Amino acid sequence: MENKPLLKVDNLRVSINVPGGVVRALNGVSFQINAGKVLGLVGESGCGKTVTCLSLMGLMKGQGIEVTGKVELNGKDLLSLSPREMRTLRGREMAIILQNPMNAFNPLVTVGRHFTETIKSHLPASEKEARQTAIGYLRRAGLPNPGRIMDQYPFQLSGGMLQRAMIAIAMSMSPPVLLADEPTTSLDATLRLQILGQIAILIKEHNTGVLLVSHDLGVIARLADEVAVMYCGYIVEMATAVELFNSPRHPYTRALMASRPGLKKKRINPIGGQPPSLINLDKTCPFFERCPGTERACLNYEMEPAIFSNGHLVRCAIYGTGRRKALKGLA
Amino acid sequence: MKWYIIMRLAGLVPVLLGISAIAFFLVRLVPCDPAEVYLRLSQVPPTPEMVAAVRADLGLDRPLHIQYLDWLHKALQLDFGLSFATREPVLAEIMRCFPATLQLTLASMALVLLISLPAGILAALYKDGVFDQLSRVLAFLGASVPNFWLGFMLMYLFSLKLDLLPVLGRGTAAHLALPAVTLAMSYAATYTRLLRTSMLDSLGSNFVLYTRARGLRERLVLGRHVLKNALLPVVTAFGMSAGHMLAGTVIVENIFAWPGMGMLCVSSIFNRDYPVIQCYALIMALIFVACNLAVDIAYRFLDPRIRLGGGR
Amino acid sequence: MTVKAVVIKLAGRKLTAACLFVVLALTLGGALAPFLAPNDPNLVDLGKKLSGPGPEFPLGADHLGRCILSRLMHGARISLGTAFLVMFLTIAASIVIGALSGFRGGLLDGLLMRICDMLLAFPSLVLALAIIGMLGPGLFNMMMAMVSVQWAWYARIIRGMVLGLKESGFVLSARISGASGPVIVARHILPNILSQIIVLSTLDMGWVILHISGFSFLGLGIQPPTPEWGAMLNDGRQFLRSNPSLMVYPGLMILMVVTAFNLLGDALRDALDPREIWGENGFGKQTSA
Repeated sequence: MENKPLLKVDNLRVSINVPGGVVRALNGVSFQINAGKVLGLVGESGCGKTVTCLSLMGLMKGQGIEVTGKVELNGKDLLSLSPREMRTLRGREMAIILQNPMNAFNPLVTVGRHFTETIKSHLPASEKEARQTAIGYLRRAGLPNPGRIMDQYPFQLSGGMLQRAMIAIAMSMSPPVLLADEPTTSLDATLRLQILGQIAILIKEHNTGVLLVSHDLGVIARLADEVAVMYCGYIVEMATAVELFNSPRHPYTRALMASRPGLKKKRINPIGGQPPSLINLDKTCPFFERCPGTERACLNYEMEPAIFSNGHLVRCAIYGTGRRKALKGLA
Repeated sequence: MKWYIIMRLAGLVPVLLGISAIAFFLVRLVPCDPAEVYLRLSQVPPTPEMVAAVRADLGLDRPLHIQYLDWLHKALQLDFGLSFATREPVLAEIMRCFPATLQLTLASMALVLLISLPAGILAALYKDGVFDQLSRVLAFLGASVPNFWLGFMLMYLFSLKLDLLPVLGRGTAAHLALPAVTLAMSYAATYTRLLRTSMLDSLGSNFVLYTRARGLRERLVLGRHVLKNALLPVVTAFGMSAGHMLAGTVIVENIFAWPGMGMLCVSSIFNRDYPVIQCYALIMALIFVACNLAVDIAYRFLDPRIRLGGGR
Repeated sequence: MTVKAVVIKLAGRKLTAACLFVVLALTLGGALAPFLAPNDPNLVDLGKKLSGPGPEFPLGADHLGRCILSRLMHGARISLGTAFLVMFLTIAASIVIGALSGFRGGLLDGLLMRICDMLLAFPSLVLALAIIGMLGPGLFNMMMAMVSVQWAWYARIIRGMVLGLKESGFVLSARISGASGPVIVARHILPNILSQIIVLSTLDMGWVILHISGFSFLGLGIQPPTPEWGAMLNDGRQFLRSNPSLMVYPGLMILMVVTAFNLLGDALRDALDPREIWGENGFGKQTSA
């Protein structure tokens, strides 16, 4: 079971036509998620993390948006499903936790209604049964007095409570795959650990495969089994969590780690500059202007990956271009 | 909720006093002596003695603030004096015309909803499609077309050329059709666009994304989530418009000889029947204020963030 | 953004350019109507009454044998002229009152704003009708009624804008360098809010024109035989069955002008969007500096 991936993403590309040109939001993203495992996806805001989640859910829709590649869930090709099939799949086989619980809930609809309508969209349950199920899951998500919360409106709950409610809604269908898009970003530091703990317990219970998206390496380090680092719509580095944190290879990953606050550190080193505009990227490595160690090869780099013998993937011109054997010595 | 309404009503007192003051002082704008006008309308030659007698009779010889308080006192007992023209109590005159105006306004409001709800929703769902473009053009024309012209054009087409509907007057439902359409047109145009905008706001919001991410049926997404939120701003605006529509009947009534308050108002202006004009303005303002109050209360009822207090 | 840039931006869009053309052409045509019109708009010739279009009367003649085209052209002069005047008076009054209220504050501010509240408690059309009713029908009285109904709304908005700018850096520095209240308002505050006032008043011009011709249609505004579009509609209503063209042309004129002003107002609002003028950080432009 461990060997067969639940979710397999291959060469996922998203481009958005805008008046000034084409925004290449995702440029050939590939990864896979196994049951009970957590893949951490880390990167600055605007690098394509949310776009990844939305395109997996089939929600990257709109004028000028083009999604290509392959997304396989339990062997089903998601991008070729009809909207109707995709609808029944969302929430049931792949659930999502959105980043800002405060505006993810409809202010005019009670929390309970959000919950029961989700259950009833997927299962033939009566309102009463759905309510009972919902209360059970709210309790398991660590919410006190779930019966009362059911009848409350989103504005009456705190961000942390709403986030727990959202997790409860997501888990109530026991989806094989859970996408958690910055699940703790809008929360207080003290709440973060609780929520992460809650997610950890639930995924263990349900043997769920998780894509955990965050800009915070600390969050990733806590839960992820494998980590992918994203920059400008590319996965620039991917390895097991232990490998990545012990020997980061991409200069961007190193810079990310250096920019983290830590107890032993004297000072934080933020990454200088801004990522380039994603409109009409040329052949220069997108990290070129911010990179401490650039070479001539960086100016004409097609972002081919270099893969080390232990499966550690890096997209950086320094490590050559995709020739596995040449890198053995370096590794 | 009960307390809210009580507080809200208490807050209306200064507004009502202000309205009454304006209504009272309106008559002061009259460039000639109302007593003289009164005598002329009564076919009595205005000799100085007669004018003085009428002034005393109407209370025009007393200090202004006494006159105001006296007038207010009477107004509170629904005594707005007698019409100069008919010698009937002013309020009775106005109330006689009120049902016709109310009928016309209600019919128009129903039409506005009937047109703008589906049109606004469709325009938003098929944004930039053929229907959206068409509704954009129609909305612009609707907002710009003078209704005193539109009314005649409709009358020409449907009553004179096609002979489908009666030309003038009030009576059957057929009589109501053209005036109601004429009055409704510009509002229907405005509300179509307003609803489209708020639908698009709602459609682009995070909570709608979340409903889709949870795999809700599109019907539920639109009905329970998008539309509910999109209608909220429309409700507010609609209450305001109700007052304006009621006032806006003046022109439409005049075109179609609809025997309502607007006709009465215009003929009173020509007759210099000041008490009727004054009372008309006062009653319209009161209705306007009442509509706004109703909207506030309805809004409270519809939006739990306001109803249950707090909110962030 | 300079005036030139705004004009270029507006003219760049075909529809807006067309609206600008309509407004300018009618303003110019109206202003020059005495020279351009083929006939005297008030010359009654009962022998030619209701005659159709021909070389003498390009659009035909009305029930008194007057040239419809000439009356329409003179009508542009009167309708637009009156509307511009009403708008100008309204803006002037509300700038004085709004600036006074916002800049001085205190008791005066409270008093003026309460008066505004009272006026705004009435539906505008009703109050205008009542004022005309008391003053009596006529052009001047109608203008007075419209100004006294409209100023309160503008005064409130202008007061808000003045309040917003009162504490801004450049006003404070002008104060420190000893400029007096009226000078600060005129030299430093007004230039900054003028573009927004222009947008508002352009958006409102359609409303003003509609109401002027509406009142005139009811016989409460501009009186016959003056060739005003609304009054012309009123003249023509008895001939709707036999000669609908008497009513079609003036109505189309109103429709065209009002549409042009509404579209122009929208385009102006887009072009002068403060976010664009002031840039991302909000400190791009200070006309007073």
